[in-house]
Amino acid sequence: MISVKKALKMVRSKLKDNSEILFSDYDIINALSECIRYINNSFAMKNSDFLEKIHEYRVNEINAEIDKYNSTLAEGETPKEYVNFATTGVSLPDDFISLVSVVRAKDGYHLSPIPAVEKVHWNGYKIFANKLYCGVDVDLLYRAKIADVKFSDIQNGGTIDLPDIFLDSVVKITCMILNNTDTDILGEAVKGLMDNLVPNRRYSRIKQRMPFIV
Amino acid sequence: MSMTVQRAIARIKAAGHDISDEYATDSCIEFINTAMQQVAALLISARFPSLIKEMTVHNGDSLPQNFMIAAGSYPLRMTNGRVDIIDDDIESVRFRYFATPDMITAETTNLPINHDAINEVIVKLAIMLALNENEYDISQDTTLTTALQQAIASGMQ
Repeated sequence: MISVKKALKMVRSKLKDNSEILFSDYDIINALSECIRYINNSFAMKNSDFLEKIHEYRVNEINAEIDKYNSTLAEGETPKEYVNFATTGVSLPDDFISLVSVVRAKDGYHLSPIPAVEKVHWNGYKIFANKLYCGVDVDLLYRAKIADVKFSDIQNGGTIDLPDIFLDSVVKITCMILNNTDTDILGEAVKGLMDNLVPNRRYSRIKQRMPFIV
Repeated sequence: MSMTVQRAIARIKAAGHDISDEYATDSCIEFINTAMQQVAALLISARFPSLIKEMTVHNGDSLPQNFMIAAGSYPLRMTNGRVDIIDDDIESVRFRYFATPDMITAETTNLPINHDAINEVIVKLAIMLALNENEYDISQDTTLTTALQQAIASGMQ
């Protein structure tokens, strides 16, 4: 993971601003967040494995949480309604970009997508209006967006959810943002850097098949 | 070591051939202060690091004394000398800013800027202000001081 503090130091050094004259920490954190948003946009189209996450959907746990919440409500306040995966659906995670697969929790069986107008059945799922509908408890494998950096991350030792190999690209793009680089050039730079890095990481682990049989 | 105020005053008096002690010490201090503010403004526009100060700002604090401009941008809204933090998640801000130096008084020992050439410009400007008051022709001095200012500015690039 890339440490926010380290990225901040590198940006300052690259901009020759170690005395904190030209840019405040706040400027750099904002530029880092903007850089992450650009990277998120470019990743949305990619098959990048390191952005994949699993979210476990268990109907009993979710409804227990709702029970707990409802018990704290004062009289007159509207209680939350229970979740039923098949009828009410359940919200997708906030950092959801795109779907990889939906598997049944108890045995890992891959559920099949069904058209949005159909009712869900035991081996199918649908994603509709930013909600997941399915008949059983599931694990959702999805591509997540990288979280923004916050000002407090400098003190708290916060990190950017990206492997270290991205450090130089992140620093370079952040410096370009701070220097108000033309957006087209910036877009090209983001695309170029990510196009080089993402596939390298993805495919370098593949075991090469020998071109002959011994 | 920084130039002493005493020496700066002596030079102003000497430049005006002030045998009759025409320039009172208080007037000389005023000339130095005016010159210093003028030079400080130039230094700040060139982002001279010595004039940076730092403080921790909380919501509702007053603007620091002699504040000129912030170094970079901060999540702060400044209204009529009061500072408000515009980001609700942030409790306090480490605020770095440029400020002009404090005015000198008869009790001050040294000029506030620890830089010989810059102090030279301050004294030269103070002398010009003093001479101008007595209606001397200072056009030559102006040219020389401007040249000195430019030399320092090009060194700071």
